[in-house]
Amino acid sequence: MKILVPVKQVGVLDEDFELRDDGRDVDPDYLEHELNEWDDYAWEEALRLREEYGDDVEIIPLTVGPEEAEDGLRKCLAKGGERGIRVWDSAMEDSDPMAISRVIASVAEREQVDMVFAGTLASDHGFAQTGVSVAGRLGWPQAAVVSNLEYQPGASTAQLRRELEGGLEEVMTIQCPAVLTIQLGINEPRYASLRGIKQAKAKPIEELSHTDLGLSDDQVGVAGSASRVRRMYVPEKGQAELIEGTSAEQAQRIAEIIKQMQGEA
Amino acid sequence: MSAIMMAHSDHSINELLDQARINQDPYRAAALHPWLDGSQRAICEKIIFAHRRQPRLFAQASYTPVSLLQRLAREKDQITLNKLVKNTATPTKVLKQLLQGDDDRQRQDAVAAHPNASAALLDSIEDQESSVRREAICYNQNTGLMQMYRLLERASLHECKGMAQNPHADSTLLRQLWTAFGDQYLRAEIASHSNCPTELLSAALNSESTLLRRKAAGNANLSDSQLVDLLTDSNAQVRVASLRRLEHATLSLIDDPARRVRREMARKSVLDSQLIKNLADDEDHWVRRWVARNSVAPESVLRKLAKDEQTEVRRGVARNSSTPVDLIIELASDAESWVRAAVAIRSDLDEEIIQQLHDDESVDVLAGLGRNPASPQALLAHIAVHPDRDVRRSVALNPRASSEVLERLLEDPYPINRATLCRHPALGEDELWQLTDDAQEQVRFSAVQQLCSRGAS
Amino acid sequence: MAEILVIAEQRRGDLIAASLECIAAAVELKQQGDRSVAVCILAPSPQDYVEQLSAAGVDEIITIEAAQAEFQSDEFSATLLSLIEQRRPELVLTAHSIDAWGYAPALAIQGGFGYASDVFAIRYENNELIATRAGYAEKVHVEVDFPGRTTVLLTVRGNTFKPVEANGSPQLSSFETKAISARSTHEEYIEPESGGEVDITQAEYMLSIGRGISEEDNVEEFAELAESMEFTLGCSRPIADNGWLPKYRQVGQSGKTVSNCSVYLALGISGSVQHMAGMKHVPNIIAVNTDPEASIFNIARYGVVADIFDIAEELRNHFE
Repeated sequence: MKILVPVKQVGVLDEDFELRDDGRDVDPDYLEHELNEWDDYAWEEALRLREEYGDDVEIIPLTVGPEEAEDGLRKCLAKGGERGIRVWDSAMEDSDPMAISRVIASVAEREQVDMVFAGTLASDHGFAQTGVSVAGRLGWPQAAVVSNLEYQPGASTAQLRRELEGGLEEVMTIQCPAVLTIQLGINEPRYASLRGIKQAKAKPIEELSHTDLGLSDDQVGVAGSASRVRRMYVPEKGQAELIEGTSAEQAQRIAEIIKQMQGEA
Repeated sequence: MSAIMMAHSDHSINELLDQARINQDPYRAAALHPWLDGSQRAICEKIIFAHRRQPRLFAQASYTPVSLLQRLAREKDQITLNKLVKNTATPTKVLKQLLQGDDDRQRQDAVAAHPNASAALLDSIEDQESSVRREAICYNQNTGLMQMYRLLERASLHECKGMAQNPHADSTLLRQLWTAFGDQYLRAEIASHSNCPTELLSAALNSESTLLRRKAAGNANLSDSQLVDLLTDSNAQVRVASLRRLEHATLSLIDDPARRVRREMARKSVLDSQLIKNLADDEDHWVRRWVARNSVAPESVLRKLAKDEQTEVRRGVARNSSTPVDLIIELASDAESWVRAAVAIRSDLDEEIIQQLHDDESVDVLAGLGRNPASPQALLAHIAVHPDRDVRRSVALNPRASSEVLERLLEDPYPINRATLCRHPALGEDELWQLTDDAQEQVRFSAVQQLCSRGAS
Repeated sequence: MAEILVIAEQRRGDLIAASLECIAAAVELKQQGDRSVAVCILAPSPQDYVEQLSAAGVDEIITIEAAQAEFQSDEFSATLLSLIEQRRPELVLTAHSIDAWGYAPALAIQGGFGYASDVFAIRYENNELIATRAGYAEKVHVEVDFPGRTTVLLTVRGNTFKPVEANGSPQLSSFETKAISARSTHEEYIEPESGGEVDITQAEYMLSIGRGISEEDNVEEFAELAESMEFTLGCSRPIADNGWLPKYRQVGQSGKTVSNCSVYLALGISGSVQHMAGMKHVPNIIAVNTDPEASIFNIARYGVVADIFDIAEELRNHFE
């Protein structure tokens, strides 16, 4: 019984930054990377299953990204799990989530996993598409925005809750294997202990290229993507309109704005 | 400080520095910076400046130590300097240092608007030709009187409004501002100024403008009799403003049609017993709410309000320091958790009431007990492992929490809880050392900072 | 003539507002060139929505009677795939809704469509489709295109396009849902908890207070102001930590997200990452703070550099 958890190091951009020379991304000097928050919850959900059901459950974090992305895997492994997988090579530069999903699905097949837990979305680009794309590739059922899970590893179905708009939730039964995209708040991710962080440094991380997975060059990178970035730009900043004057004048203006907005509604 | 202590703290600092170096950790390095001598600082700075983004982050952070801000002021990177000059934590001396030999106009403008810029510094960057500069200096509370006189000659209405709020404005300047434009808003600011000349104050008090009378009523120099006179003003806003400055409420306003006036009366520390009884019966729940919180409310009134239909009124009684114990016990089993939570944060709780609230399911009640110095350690130990992260944090905010209880929060999954923990004086030294190696940068920073300042004291 | 197909959605019998916005986007594109707009609705009784979907500019409405009472991703993917393969639209639009998150990417994979999510601008340049979305937590905008794709599926960000007000008279047609064996089953809905408490996630107007307030009585004063303005009171973490306001009023990371808020008056809130996580999406943020460099001003529509107590005192006089 294996659970695959694809995780991503998201790029956190500085307040002041510059674009790359080709104008299609930002200058990486201005990016700091951290593990996507949603993925932390997905990994925690896998960890809990492993703790509850023991060694028969193998949980594997996977990342698709360059060497720096290994940090994300180590962060997961510091909390549990025995090994990780990182897939990358230069042909995979500029892959969109659709191309990434092909890589993840290939790893899922190669590892013959039984479930995939992905984060609902990532905080950098907010695609909300990778997990469900993996299901599309594997031909598995999927459920997005899972906020509660009752699942016994190996069982043919799982019961879950999906968080919908406005706080409404849907209770659903799903056939397994399946891809679930995990929502924040489904659990409380643990804190990696010092011991765990040290142990994680020694855990093996398998490094694969797209050819190792039997993928051709045109199945990854821009060629394997469903969209291509033409250009990136900094939007005209919606600078706050400054309300000036004495506090009496400022308050009067605030009151006018509020009353006008309430009138429009 | 004894020699042994000194040795110990030096030893610690060296060890922390080694840690920062081995991990190339800018956060530990920044926290250590003020405690080091020149050569050691160089080591820290090397770590901090290894990446372009790091100095920029420290330049805008509110927590950055002054020694590091000083070092950042010598940077060449324009973005770092721009951030530094806009950081409200940047002290005068660093601003001054930053301006030396720097002729960047935008940074000078930023200094002109900076709350820590001294009068002398503002004086040195005066530029009558720049409207941005002029405006910033006119609105800066530190601007000195002489500079304001210089600016006055060409000041716009907007700039005059800024000067009218400046505490250093004297009566002569305020007189000139008063006649400068004849603007009501500007005059209203002058009327509330503590240096407002008597004749202008009385002009404001007798003005047709509600705004002027209201602002004048808020002037700290009004005598009680002047304030009492204003209580008969036809405008409720003026009555409220004058009432606010008085210690006592007055019977004449007992039936004031404006509920805001009655609300204000309900807050007074000198209240006639008949008046307070009337207010406690007021149809406006805010009037009752303020009475319930008023420490001069007699027991009979509190007993009555403890049964009020409004949750917030009952909560007010539970927050009142004059409420008798038996009433507190009653409120501790109120149907509304928000009332029980008000009991839970009282510092005068006895064991019996704590026991009563012990098993409450409300997060507000538990968080209240968690930060209550009267709570027993066994209860805190229990709350420290509650599933809700905000409830757990309450224990780290409890000044009486023991080091044993605090240890339970050491591996709390929520970083803010661990960062809060670092600042607790009872947290053991070994535990602080452990947190210097935390996965979260703010936690490491706080832990190192605490260790250093403990070593120094 | 090239077709733009809009996939409309309903939940529990109500058409979602964002579907009407997608129609508006499609009609706008139609005006740019020789294109037709078709709208499909897959629902248990699809004819119920025809009137609402009949916006001016829509040429055809395709009703598809769903076999499943509630959204089911297998039925959506299979049915829409066969509809798209039959009609071969060049562009398919659907709302960036949670149900769309649950099927649209898989549909794009199965159909080999071009795909981009959460787009807020769509245009043709030399007959080439270009969509704009945001990146790096909204700090940049990204233009994407779809080389070599004959059909492109886009999920459209809400509150971006204004629904078409005028009615039209589109043709009606119907389409058969695909018989599938659903691999997931809807069991029930769980309503959001309200428990008699104020639910700030539902509030439209909010007044929120932060660290700038240092006494409990001040909290009471702001509560009084909020009430007189008919605003719902919220707070940042330090206020709730002091026990001055209940936890359910806390906005942000460990508190709540004010999903339905349209006006947010932030008094003395500097704008920590945690707090902004719960409110940065609000369209009309009015921020009052003494520090002109406070982060909250970066996301505010109106900025007021002032003392919150002065402003509150003055505001009281406008809402009595």
